[in-house]
Amino acid sequence: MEKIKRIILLITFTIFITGCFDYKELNNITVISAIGIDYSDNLYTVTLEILDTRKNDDSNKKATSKILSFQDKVLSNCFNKAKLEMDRKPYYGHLDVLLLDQGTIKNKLKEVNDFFLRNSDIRNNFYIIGVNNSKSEDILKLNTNNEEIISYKIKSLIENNNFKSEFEEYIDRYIEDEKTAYIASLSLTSDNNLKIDGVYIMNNDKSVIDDANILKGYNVLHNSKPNESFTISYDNNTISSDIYESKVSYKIDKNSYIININIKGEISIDEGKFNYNNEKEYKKVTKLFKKDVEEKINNFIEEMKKEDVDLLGISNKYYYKYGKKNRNYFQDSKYKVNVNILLNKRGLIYEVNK
Amino acid sequence: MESINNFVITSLIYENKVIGPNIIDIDKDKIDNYLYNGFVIILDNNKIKTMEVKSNLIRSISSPETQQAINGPKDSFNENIENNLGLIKRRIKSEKLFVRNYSLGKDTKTITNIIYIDNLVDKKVLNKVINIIEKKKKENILDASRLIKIITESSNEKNVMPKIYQSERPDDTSNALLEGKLVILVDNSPYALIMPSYILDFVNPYIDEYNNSSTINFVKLIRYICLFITLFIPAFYIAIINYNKESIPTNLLVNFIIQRDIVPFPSIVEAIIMLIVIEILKESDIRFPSKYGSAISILGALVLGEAAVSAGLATPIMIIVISLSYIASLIFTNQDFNNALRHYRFTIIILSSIFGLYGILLGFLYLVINISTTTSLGNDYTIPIAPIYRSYFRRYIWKK
Repeated sequence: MEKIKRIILLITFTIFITGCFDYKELNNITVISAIGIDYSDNLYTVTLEILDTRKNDDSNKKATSKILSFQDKVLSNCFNKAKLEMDRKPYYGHLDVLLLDQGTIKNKLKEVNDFFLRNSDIRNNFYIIGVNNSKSEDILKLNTNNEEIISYKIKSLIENNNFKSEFEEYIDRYIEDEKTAYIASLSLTSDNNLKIDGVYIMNNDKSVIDDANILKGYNVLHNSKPNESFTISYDNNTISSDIYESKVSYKIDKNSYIININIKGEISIDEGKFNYNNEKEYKKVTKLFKKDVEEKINNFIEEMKKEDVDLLGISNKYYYKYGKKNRNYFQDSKYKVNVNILLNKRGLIYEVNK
Repeated sequence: MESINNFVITSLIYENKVIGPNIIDIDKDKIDNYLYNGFVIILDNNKIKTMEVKSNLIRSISSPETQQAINGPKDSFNENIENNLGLIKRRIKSEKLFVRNYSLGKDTKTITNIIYIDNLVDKKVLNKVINIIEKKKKENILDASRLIKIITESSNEKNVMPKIYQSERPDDTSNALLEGKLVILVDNSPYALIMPSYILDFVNPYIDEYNNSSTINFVKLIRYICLFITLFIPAFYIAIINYNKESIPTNLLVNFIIQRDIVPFPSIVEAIIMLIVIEILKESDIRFPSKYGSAISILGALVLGEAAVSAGLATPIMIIVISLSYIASLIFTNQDFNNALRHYRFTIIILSSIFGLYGILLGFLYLVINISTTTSLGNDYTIPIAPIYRSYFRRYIWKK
């Protein structure tokens, strides 16, 4: 009897403490692949891109989507309205992109962060993107002919870009120190094409950095495989190199910090006059590239100081090392950038001395 | 008829008397008894003579039906215990090969042989089996499967997993004897019972020995994968589509939703319907005369294929998942083992439909606990993994 009691108790506990609260049959869900949030005139507009799951007789036809918009003064109410107006339960487990317009980023970013962080129905590994010169609703509605799924297009656009602002990484940075966070910025070009053209930084104005030279510096520091190119002029030749590997280390002292970067790249374009096999010339060219990279990184750091943001998380690094919080460390401290650059492989370049 | 022609009719025509082996005189009242037991009665000058003309109702030695090997020998046991014993003795010519003879059953008097190699056999197992057989001597036995039940029940090892391996191959059986196992042959059964047997004996058959070791390990790996597929794939699919949809790529998920749109049942009901239909087909395929086999195959393909999907009873992906699980189970030829797998498959599916992936974990734990607490005549069922038995491991699990 005692044994039976135990078994019943075990089964009951198992059912009540675990269970099927998130049980949803496939035919009862609507898959949302993109959310756009716009904020203007004290009103949120939430636009959802819904993947079309109706049976189609034409098996060769591409998957399509439809767009629905909901408005309310409270963000969560927009999502509640969506729940009520759809015939099936909205499912956010396959959310690919979240678009925020400038109004939302500038005025309601905290509320948006809070909503997505607390909502257990929405997964956290999607891309968060700021719309620069348009409304997110307009971007999602570009898909007027139902010809393609716009979220797929935006997703592949950001995945091919150097600044992939994933929500998880963004929110980690935001919670730790708001100044270290960034969001990729998306623009609508005049011919209705989409383009990732920079990053939103979390300064007071939530402005966009779209200067390619400054972004180059950040890319080399931010990505271990930066896929960036630098161009120099040497002896009236234009030489370009592709950087494919970057290793960055920081040396943090009380009043100063040093950034050491080891870069590997290869010369990709020149005008055919540069002699690769000449060691002296090679060293000169390398030096010029080094100078160029250092300059771009310095420009980037100066820009960050000017905007009062810390995308590199230098102040955090100070805190990790010394255990003291000093949010102005990045701003106030002196710094030095050391670039060590290796272009091509030596054995392939130099002439053999016989 | 052949004996009557050769000895009785021919000799009566040419010699005017009956000449033949073992002709004996009998009394009038024993005529019935002799007639019923394959004897001919000859009336010769008021004398009643009788002679055995019994025909041999045993089929010849044929090739194995369920344990075929491409490279190995092609002989298999038949219903004659003498033949079967002979096939083993052809392979093991040792004075240590002992055969204990029993006649089991109050009415059946079935001849049963316990065979072992005296210096190799585990004496504990031998004594245990002998004790059981001595105790149950009076129970009527028609074939080996009844004996399996008696031994399993008497050794208190009731469990869905089979503990006695049935082999129709003399080479497999001889190998088991050389490994120190015990073999029981029962008259009228074309199978030898090998004991004790462990779980991996049912997964990896002896016929692997006939192949190159470096290549057969891949086949062994495939079998382990099939074991996993047949047990977990339907449950995994149900857990994923009901609880963890985020792990399915978006395009595939959209396809699944489109497919499920027309099916009115929950996916667990759909899975159970399909599993039951497959079990029905499997059973009918075994029982029905083989000439009807193609008709059943066509019908099965129709029921399980296009028609079930068009009628909105099942989704194509569910049919793929269930078929995959069924095909993977066909790798294991032992029917008892297959039935045990079915038991676990259903349990895990039901758990996964209630608890999702957590249910699969529960099912897995149930499987592991169940198998690890199982014994085969007192030996651990998980040998050679736990406890590790190196030579057995190298031979059956991963060949060196």
